[in-house]
Amino acid sequence: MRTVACPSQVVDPWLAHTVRIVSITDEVEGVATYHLEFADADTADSYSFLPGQFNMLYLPGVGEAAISISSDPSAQGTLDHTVRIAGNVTGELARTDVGSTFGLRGPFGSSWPIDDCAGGDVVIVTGGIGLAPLRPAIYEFLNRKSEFGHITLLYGARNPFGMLYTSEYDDWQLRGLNVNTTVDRSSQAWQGNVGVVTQLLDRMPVPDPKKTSVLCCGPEVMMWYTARSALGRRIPKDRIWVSLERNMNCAIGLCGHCQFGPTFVCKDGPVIRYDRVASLLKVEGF
Amino acid sequence: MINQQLSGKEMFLPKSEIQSLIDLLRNDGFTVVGPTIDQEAIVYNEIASVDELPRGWTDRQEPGKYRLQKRGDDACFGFVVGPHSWKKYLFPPLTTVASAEKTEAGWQARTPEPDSTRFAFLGVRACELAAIGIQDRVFTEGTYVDPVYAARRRNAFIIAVNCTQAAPTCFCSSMNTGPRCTSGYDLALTELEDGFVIESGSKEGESLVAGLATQDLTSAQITKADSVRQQAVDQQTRHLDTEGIRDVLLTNLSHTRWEEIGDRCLGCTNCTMVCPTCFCSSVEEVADLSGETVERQRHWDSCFNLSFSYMSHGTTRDRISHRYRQWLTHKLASWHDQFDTSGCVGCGRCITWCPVGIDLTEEVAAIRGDGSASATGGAT
Amino acid sequence: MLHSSSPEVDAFGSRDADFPHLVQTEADITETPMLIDLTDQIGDLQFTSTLPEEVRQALAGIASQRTIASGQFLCREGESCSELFLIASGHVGLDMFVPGRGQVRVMTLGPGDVLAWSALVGNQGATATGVALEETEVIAFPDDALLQLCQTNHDVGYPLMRELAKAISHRLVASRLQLLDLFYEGSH
Repeated sequence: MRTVACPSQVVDPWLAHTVRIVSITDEVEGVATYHLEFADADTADSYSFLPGQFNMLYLPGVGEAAISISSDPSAQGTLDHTVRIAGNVTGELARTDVGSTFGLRGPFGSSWPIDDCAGGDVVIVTGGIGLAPLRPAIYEFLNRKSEFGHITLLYGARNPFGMLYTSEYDDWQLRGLNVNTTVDRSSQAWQGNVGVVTQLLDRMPVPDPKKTSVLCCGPEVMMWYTARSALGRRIPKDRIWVSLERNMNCAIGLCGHCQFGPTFVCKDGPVIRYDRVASLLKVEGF
Repeated sequence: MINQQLSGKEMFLPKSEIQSLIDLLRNDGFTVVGPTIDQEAIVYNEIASVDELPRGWTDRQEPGKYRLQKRGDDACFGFVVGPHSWKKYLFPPLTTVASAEKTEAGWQARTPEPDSTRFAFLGVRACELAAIGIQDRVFTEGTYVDPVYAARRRNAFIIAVNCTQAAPTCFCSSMNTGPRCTSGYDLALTELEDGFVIESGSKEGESLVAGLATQDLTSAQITKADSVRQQAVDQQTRHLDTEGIRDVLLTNLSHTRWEEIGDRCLGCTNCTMVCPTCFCSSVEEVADLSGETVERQRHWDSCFNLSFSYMSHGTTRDRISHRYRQWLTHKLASWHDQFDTSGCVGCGRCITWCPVGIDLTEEVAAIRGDGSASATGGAT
Repeated sequence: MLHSSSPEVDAFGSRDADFPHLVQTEADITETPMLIDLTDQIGDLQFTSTLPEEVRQALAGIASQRTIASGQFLCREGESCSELFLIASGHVGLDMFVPGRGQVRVMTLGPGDVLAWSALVGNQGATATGVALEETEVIAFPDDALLQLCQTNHDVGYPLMRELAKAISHRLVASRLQLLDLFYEGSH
């Protein structure tokens, strides 16, 4: 018979904590931010996460959805998820009111390499809802501003109405983030950039590419072309990081759904170094 | 437990004593599971009597074909492997992983108490021992441990049986997983005409043997046991070249062969259901009528199902060729990166139970560019 | 903001021997000190930064620097434009007229980008309107002089056209990515 190792696993990974919706902020059409608190005080005290990690939000009777965390990791007691209505779970969440409870498992997955970025410039390239998983990283960079060189956000949206967190840009800018936005489709009132977000990377100064890190989150095609632009600017491929998305069912690497070649996106990702997945990103249907 | 200091002595167990073995285990609180005949196949079920074993029956297997046939003797284990594997007990096809209840304080989630069932598996083949070893890595040796598997596995008692024959679909020699059982068991049997050679692989196994009417082995019995075990080696004709297989597959993701397989493959999921190492699953919500008590039920799923890679903005693997490629590259290539082992044990079930007889050894050979395909030619 | 001079640009300084026939004499350069400025400027901008020093100097010989006030046009859709522009600083909007929608901005250009290449590749009129979105510094190359330079000196013409093809290819990829509508997230 066999001794089965149960190393550090104290809590059953299938157990969901009860969370309550404290408030809801409407962001853009079909996207809202849910500010949550744990029902249990001990869980609230012990819970912590790293920028880039996600939680499984569990609506009993409907199912679970993997949603990245969007709040400041150092602000104890706040836990925000910016959610786009995309399926059954997120659709049901959109019909849920302040004060309601549901389940949460997490945090899961890898995080943005904040420490590895120290001592150099940082370029955050993202688009649409992709800013949500990078917001905790932005807070972290700004909280530790002196450790980094120039920190730049290049943010693309479908149109001027598709940009998240616009009310925070002035504050971010004041705290030292160089915020650059662009849209694929302009409107009459839009005075900013028009064009795909990778063009902002093509154009911006990169004085010390070897010490510049790129953190990217968006559709795979966008991330691939961002990496291409970054490589064109002589930024090394091991300094480019992407956040991948796959169907996540268990979040603990046991169900097989989220595999991307050797990578279990739920536990080896979602944040992963570009050179580790580069060869697979353009394989159709892989 | 396995790997403790053991006497290592082999004994002779008369055929009549198999019932005593079953009885001892049952009296000790084990649920004994062994091969039985059901729906014209040899499958694993709970047993209480030696009479439930498929005595005198064997299986004839080929790509896409499986038939039972009478043997000329009354061997209890004179067959190879059927559609079932032990994973159905350690990683149940349907199980509750959590539940939730609506209370006055809101939704409260719970997880079930660890399963206390103690299984004794009778008739575990070498390739199946290897498969259990692989699932041990998947479910219990990573960042997260699956509580359902861990509880059932912890309690399992394993009686291995050495193969004395091989099917044309077997290729465990290629995978270095058999046919000889070398570790991972509590007891191991080799079937002779009138009884078994029995050896212990754990203290628990040793103490169980102490309660059986064993005899010292004769030199003739030792010779006979060696020769019937050698038969299983000699009869193997199918071969999978594993040399550099990970890179061969992962550098050929755009090979035209994938589309050809995609045209033949029905995407039926049979190969993944019969595979003793496939571990893919999905969790679904099962609510009562009031919607206030919900069970989270995990069921086996398959990378061949279209919904398996579904995402809100599209399905990642929307063609059968993509899904077959996912299955084969996972099993034989990326499994090495993930678990430091192949995901294939060479049992041949996926070949036998494929309705169109797709043979992975042949597909790997084609992607390698061998032209020769498998040694026996396989099915086309 | 201009790019600071990067090492790979400086590296071309040592390649004079590869293009002996292109080397301008000291006298040429000192006679036109303003051109030295432009050569450096041209070298700093992405479009021209990888061109050999000699080519950059030849280009500087026909170039002029200009400041475009915010709201002024560099070229107008359908009208002929006699210069190729290289943006040194500032931003230029590229607009196309759509009946019923007015001027639709399809892209914004910035430092290092070229515009008004239509005449250079034989098109009759500009395919978009270029409007300065702020005070914008450009380096202007008269098409006549540029075409003549390319035709008479293929050692200038070839690398320049190759660079132009690269810039257009880049712009084409950017347009395709825009066309893919990557951030469209489905109807809710």
